[in-house]
Amino acid sequence: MPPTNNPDQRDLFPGALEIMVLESLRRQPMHGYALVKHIKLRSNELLLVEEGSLYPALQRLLKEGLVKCEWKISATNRRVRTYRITPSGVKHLEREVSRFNQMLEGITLVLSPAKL
Amino acid sequence: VQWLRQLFSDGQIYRDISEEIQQHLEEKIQELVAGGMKPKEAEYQARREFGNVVLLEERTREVWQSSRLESIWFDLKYALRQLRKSPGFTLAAVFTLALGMGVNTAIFTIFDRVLLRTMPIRKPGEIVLLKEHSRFETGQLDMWAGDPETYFAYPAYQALRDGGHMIEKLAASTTAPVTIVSHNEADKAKMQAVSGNYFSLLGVQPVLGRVLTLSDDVYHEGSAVAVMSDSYWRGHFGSDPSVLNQQ
Repeated sequence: MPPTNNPDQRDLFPGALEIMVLESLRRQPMHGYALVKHIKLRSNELLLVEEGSLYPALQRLLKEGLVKCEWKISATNRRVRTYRITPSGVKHLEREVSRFNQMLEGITLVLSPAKL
Repeated sequence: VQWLRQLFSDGQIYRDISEEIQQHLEEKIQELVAGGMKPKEAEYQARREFGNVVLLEERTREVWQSSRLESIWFDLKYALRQLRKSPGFTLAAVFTLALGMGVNTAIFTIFDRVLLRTMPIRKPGEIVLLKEHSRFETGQLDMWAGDPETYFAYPAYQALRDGGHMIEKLAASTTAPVTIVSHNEADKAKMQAVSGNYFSLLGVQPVLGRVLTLSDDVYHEGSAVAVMSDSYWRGHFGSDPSVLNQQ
């Protein structure tokens, strides 16, 4: 998942995509394509989910029981596989977000100008 | 049992993934077209932004292919699918294999019955038959029957028996037709004249009486001893134990 405005296309840290997928699904169940659009929109298009990498991530979450899925007919009358977060998915998300915040705090402290 | 169930529900998992990716592409193309793009262009862009579909399906599957066993199972299913796609090739391959296995089985069965099982002796696999090979034509020495190359002069046999380090033990035998007279009837039979160590070498024990020993191996001086085959004893004497020690 590269930032859109960076030609170098750097990857985020491992698990970043999973956290964003879980958070998006906590707001509302949706299918893969909607997830891509949702993350793009929510990040003010700073983040563009590489569409390809979404599906392996979804399968990993499915396998670990953090999300569930079912085939449904979408509003646009299309057969779509809709994903929904599970209670253990919510727990996992909270844990990961708190770990992410800690990491972010650490990085911010290191990067901030030294206080005398 | 979890992994077993997973193993067999794989087909469904992979079909779902393929369909999901297909739906994703279609939805994107539809949206691009709705935005004013030409269908061909839209499809091209959708596929480009999505990435390599085959590779992606593979990566998605890898999530479930946790074990080597599953990977083997997958290869096996792939192989079976390929075989089903080309029935002509499959038929030819199966027929060839079947024929090969059949012929091998038949040959081994014959070999087993004829050579391995018909020798009720100790260590049949270690028994060898000595043959003489000469660079020169030695002419025929066909005394009774059989292969002249397996005939050895008695001194030659003695030298081979006593000086041989290739062979653990060596016994000699030759066949001859004889007439056996018993009670009031005479019968032609096939006799085998053998050296005294013949039976001990083969590790054969008699049902009744004794077999020949080294002490019988004396030219013209030993007692007249004969060992009767079990089938001859049954066929001509009705397995009568009183056949022993009769002149």
